[in-house]
Amino acid sequence: MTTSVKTTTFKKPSATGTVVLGILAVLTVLGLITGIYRLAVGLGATTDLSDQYAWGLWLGFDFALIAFGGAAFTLALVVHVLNLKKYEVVLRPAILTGFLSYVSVLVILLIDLGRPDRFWGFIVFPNIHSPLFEVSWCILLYTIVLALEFAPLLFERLNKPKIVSAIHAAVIPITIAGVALSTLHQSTLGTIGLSLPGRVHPLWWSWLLPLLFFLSAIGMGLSAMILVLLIANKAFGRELVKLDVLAGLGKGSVWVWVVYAVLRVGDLLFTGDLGRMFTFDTFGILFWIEMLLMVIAPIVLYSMEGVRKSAAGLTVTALLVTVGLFFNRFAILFSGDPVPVGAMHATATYFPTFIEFAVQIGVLAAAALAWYFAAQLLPVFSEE
Amino acid sequence: MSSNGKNAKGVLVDLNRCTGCRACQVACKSWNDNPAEVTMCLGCYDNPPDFSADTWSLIRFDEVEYNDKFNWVFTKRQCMHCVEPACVTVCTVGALEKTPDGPVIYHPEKCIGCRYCQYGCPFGVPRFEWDKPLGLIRKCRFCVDRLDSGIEPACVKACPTDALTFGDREELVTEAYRRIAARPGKYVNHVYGDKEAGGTSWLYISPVPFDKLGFPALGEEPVAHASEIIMNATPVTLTAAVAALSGLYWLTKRRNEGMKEKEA
Repeated sequence: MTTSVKTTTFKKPSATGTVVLGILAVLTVLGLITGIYRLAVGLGATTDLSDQYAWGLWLGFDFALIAFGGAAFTLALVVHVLNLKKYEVVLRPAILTGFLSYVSVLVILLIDLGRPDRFWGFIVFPNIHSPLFEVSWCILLYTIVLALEFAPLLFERLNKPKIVSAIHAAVIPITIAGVALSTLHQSTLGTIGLSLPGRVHPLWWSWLLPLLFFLSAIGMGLSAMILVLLIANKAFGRELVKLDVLAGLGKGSVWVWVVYAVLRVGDLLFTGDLGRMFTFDTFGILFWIEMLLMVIAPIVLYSMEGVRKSAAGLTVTALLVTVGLFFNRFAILFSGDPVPVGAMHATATYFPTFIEFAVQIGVLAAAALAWYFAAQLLPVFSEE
Repeated sequence: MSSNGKNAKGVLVDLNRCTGCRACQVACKSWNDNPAEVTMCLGCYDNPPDFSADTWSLIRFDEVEYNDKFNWVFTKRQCMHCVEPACVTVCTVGALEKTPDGPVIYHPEKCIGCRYCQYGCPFGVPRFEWDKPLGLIRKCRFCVDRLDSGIEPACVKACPTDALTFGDREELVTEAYRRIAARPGKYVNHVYGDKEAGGTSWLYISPVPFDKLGFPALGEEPVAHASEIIMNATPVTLTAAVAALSGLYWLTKRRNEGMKEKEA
């Protein structure tokens, strides 16, 4: 294969690149400062969260970022389990993307907890009936798997071939463990929605939520790599991964979204909530925005050869899927009614504060910087 | 999983008897050492306006028209102490526990502050200490310490009109239907909490339909029932996933080897 490019020496960014890196660094520092401030003074003083809206921006991003980070298990599935070696060039960038997504989620979760000092609580106080307990364990174990999958890059760079070949020998069991753990927690995030029947709008609440979450994580994972790698191509000023490889990922995701669409609409038909699709109230409209962006756009656009041959076309489609997925995950969390108890106290609202945005953006900026430097310094794009 | 024991306790709230004096509210604060709250006028008599970390019991004042005239309906609200509590099912660390005697109690030493219970509870009961750097959940605990000593909860003790009746839940359900049958014109034919969400320890009978008083309309299934069924299938899902992935790996590897042989 000719797609390999060795990137183990640092290449100076362009003038625009330097400005972008500078902005990301400033956002990271701002996120760090606001994050520490939040830990020092508490959630009430720094967020718009309340008893009526106990979860907010941060949890929505956690939900969406875990699906985005699904890129890692999806590509591991494609390359090692389905043995489609054409996509091997995407695997390492996917592991890097997944690893940074999951670390971002862990950082945000820590800041979102009422007792960050007890983040380890789920390890010693199990409740096997709680979806969040299972998700916590899977994310812990899967982040370890991701670190193992990522480790060869580091040890190749450090020239420790023995450690690299030891990890390489176990690559299939590690991969299967990672994909199985992902199957569990990606679907169990949907089970969280399932556990909140009064809090999730009937257009979204469904027995199929675990399956729909799992499928959309695969679809999102494929588009995530298209988006990330096309941005990286731009940032590094050369074709790190060939366009036809990325187009193949897009084409593959069409089938994922077709199955998703059939299940989604079939489920609404079965439960008798299909009519709600056409009420065109706030949630009816939200439903269509989500379906158009996350499901219909990839099915139609990735099927068009013109789109598959154009970097811009692929970027836009992958971006639409990403925005659509955010709509979907936020709808699961925020489409229901808050619960007021007092007679006149039904007026609670929620809009994220500056600090909530600053922390969230800071974590994302840090992840982007980490991605950039890892791609520069580690053999992310080299082949063995 | 968790459910009521044989002689689980409950309280019957008869809204026809409540005069809105708030003695229960004060008794709750006093027994649980909860401080008073600074409140302001919101155009209603609810005071404080909602549950909070420091207010676990509350009288809600509703202006409702029935029998062709204007009426006040006063509703004492607190944790319903569900028979199959959603908060207990969803709590990440098992910090909430359903005791066989009825109370749903909270173990603050386990809590990580994820606030899943706040989302899971259909009655909006668990409240978070938003003003603390290290916040925890707080809620009505059915005066479990008093129950353990064989006496009624502080709010029931304080009620001057017998609007609150403490006893075995099963007997209270019978008593509730007896009161409705004895004076059918005075009550709507509905014991709220008998069947709702799998049943609650606190039961309500009322002169007006419960949706007029802000009670959620719930089915007979426990709220987190669906998710619990899925969670119980976790070992099956995991085994199936590992088996399917190993099988796929084996199949596709053979396919690739076959293709290579053909090429050779």
